[in-house]
Amino acid sequence: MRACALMLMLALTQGVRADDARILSAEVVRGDGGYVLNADIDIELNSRLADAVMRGVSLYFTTELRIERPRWYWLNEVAVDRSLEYRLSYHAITRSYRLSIGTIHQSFDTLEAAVRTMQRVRNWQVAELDQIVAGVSHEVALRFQLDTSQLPKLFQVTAVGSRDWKLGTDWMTWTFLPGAAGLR
Amino acid sequence: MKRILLAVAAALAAISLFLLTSASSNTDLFVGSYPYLLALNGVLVVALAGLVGVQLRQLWREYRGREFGSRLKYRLVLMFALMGVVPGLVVYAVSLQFLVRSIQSWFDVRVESALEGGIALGQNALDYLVSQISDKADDMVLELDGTGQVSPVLLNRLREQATVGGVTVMAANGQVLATAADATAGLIPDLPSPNQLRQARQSRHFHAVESQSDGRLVIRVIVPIPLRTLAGEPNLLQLTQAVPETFGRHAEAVQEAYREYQQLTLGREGLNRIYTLTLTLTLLLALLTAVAAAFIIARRLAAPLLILAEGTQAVAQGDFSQRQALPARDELGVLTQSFNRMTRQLEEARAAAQRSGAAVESARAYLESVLANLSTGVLAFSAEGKLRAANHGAMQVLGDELAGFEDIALAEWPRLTHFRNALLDGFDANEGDWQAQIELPVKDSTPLALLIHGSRLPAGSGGGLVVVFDDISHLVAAQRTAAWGEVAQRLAHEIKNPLTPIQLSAERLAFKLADKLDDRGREMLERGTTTIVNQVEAMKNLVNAFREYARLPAPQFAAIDLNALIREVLDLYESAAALIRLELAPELPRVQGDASQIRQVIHNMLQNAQDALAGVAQAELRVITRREGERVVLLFRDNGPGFPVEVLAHAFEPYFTTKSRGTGLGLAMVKKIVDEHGGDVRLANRDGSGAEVRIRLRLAETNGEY
Repeated sequence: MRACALMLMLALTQGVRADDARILSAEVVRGDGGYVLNADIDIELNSRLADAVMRGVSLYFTTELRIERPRWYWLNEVAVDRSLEYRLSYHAITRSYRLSIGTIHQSFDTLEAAVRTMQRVRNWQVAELDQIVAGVSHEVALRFQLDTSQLPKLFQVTAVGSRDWKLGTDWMTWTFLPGAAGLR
Repeated sequence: MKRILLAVAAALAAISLFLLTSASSNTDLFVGSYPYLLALNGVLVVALAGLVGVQLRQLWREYRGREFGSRLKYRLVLMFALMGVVPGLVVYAVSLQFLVRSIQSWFDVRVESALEGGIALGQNALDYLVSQISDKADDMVLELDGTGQVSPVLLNRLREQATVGGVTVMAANGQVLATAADATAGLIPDLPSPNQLRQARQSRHFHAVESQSDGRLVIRVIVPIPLRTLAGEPNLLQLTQAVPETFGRHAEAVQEAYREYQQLTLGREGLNRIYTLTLTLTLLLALLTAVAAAFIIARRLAAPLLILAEGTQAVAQGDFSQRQALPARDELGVLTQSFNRMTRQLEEARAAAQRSGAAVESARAYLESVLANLSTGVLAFSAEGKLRAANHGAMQVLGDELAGFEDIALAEWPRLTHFRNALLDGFDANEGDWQAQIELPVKDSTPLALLIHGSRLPAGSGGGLVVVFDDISHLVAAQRTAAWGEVAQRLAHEIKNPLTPIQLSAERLAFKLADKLDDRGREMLERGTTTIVNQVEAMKNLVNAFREYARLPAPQFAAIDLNALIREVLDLYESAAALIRLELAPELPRVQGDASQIRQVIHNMLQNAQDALAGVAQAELRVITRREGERVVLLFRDNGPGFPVEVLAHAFEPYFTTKSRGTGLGLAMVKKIVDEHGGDVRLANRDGSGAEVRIRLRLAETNGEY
């Protein structure tokens, strides 16, 4: 019975996103030797997540970008599918928050500073020049979310069906015509 | 079908449970699939619950419909289910309790405070190190105070005095003016980030602990070097010192332990949920499987009993068909087989009984039909004297249906008193079998002659009496007729022979003596001879009549019109004294007969009637013809005195006459002719007055034609 309810909740929450995350603006522009993404995302860690970070749990966030070329005869062709992974953790001895992207990390005295850094995406090179065909309109989709699959196992069980552990935006899509910046 | 379903479900449940428990232990392999495993188990639980529900519903329907055997199945299922459910629930409750307790026991306030203390210790130690470096920086600033240019040599000396890792003097914009570092550091000084630089400019003291990419901790302190003049930005002094490696390692270890502990604390709910869910799912799967299995086991166990019970019911209702026998693996199988053997024997026994019963029945039916078709009457009496059986012949002969005689003793029979008395007398007078001939008077008709044979049944078969009797009236009449015919012939012969010599002698006497006698004498002689001759002549006629009666020729049958014959004969009686009325049926079928003999019959009857009506005022004779079934009836009814009772018994015997003259052969002749025509004659007195003679004749064979 319990498993039943769990499944039901799983199904319900799949489509529901917390309101405390949204993409304020995003654009793909031509940069040096390729296309870059600039975006502003507004997220707010709820107390549960902040507490988890305080207690030493590492949170993983991903910014996913997908650029597709529409095809009338088949599914759209995926031109670019990239993601940016952040790891947010707390260092108790030094009382600092640490944000890592890959092997690079940065320390912050406050959680807000660390989060703010994640919110601003600037000059993220997402595509080579040859991956985008100029003059053809592309579908761009972007989202930002907490990656619960990288949480410790115990939290995953807790996270299943819990609103507190759902943080992320919906896919935001816009059309991008290379040659001119697709601005949103 | 259901069994396979259950087996599949149970196997799936076992596999998924195994996976679930494996996932619950700390292997990363199942981390991603845990929700799916949960869902799979949930689906299995639902499927099993559905199966059990279907089975329950089926059983309930059987139970409600009072289907045979459902009660037993219900009880078995209940028993098995209880056996499965109760221990399962107990184990579940205990383990859940145990689980929750043990998880809670992991979390100890002392451990937590120890870990927190460790962290605080680390933080304090680090703070202490930072404050030390900070003091050194202050000291160094005092040393450097006033010196416009800082030589690396001085800086290095100061560094060595202060025993710090690296010292750098920077301009406010971060440009390096001088630097000194120990051997471990590279040539390029570790510079602060612009952000740190900005903070350092704004505050008197900037200090930070940075963790390097290789995990080492570095303390960075930046203090401004105050200027004598107020103009311009002061230079900045940066001290960097690596935290000792052992300290860093131990701090990291404490931090790791603290982090894990905190994670456990946070995840306690999840852990509880995992184990509880797993346990609950296990319990549900096990219980549902047990219940579903209980249904199947109950069905299997009940099956032979049901077969037996059904068989018993069927046998009770007379159905001896074989039941499905279970293969003899256990006592129940042997039981069903023995039951089948028993029913087979029963069936054979019953068939044999039926066969013999049918044989007896057919024999009895044969006897009964023989008895029923006998013209002989048969009556059987019980030992108490009550009528037990009477055949059709008996009723026919006695002219009585004998209705209700089964309930009363023979001595109390309300009717047939003559017959009853004869039987009683016969059985009283004789010990064993007896035989008697009696005459049974019939009202207004000729009496019946009965030959009765009575016998007693042996006491072994229940006793009782049997009476067999025959109507021998015809036999007696025929015997009499034959006897009379013989007598008539003999008499005719014996009498006729002397008649001619007597006549001739008388005539000769008259011829010879006529001349010799006087007139008186001659007259007397003539009178005497005439009398003799006349009487002899009359006697001759009589004798001839007898001979005729005795030698009546065989009738020559033809289809004759009875009505025409009657009219023809009546012509001779036009001058009769009695009024003769004809009531002839208009479309009378022809009858089979000899015209001359039938004419004789009519003639005799008319003659008889005329004789009987002599001296009766307003005498009337009615001649009636009509058809009755396959016979034609000829009735003569008069209003004369009727037949005297003693006449009725012997009217048809020759020479039985009440008339002063006549041969007495009239009715005898009629009887004989009608008998030879296959008909019958009955005499009766009418209720009012007068006699009735009823003659029945057969139709001619050309039936329906005239």
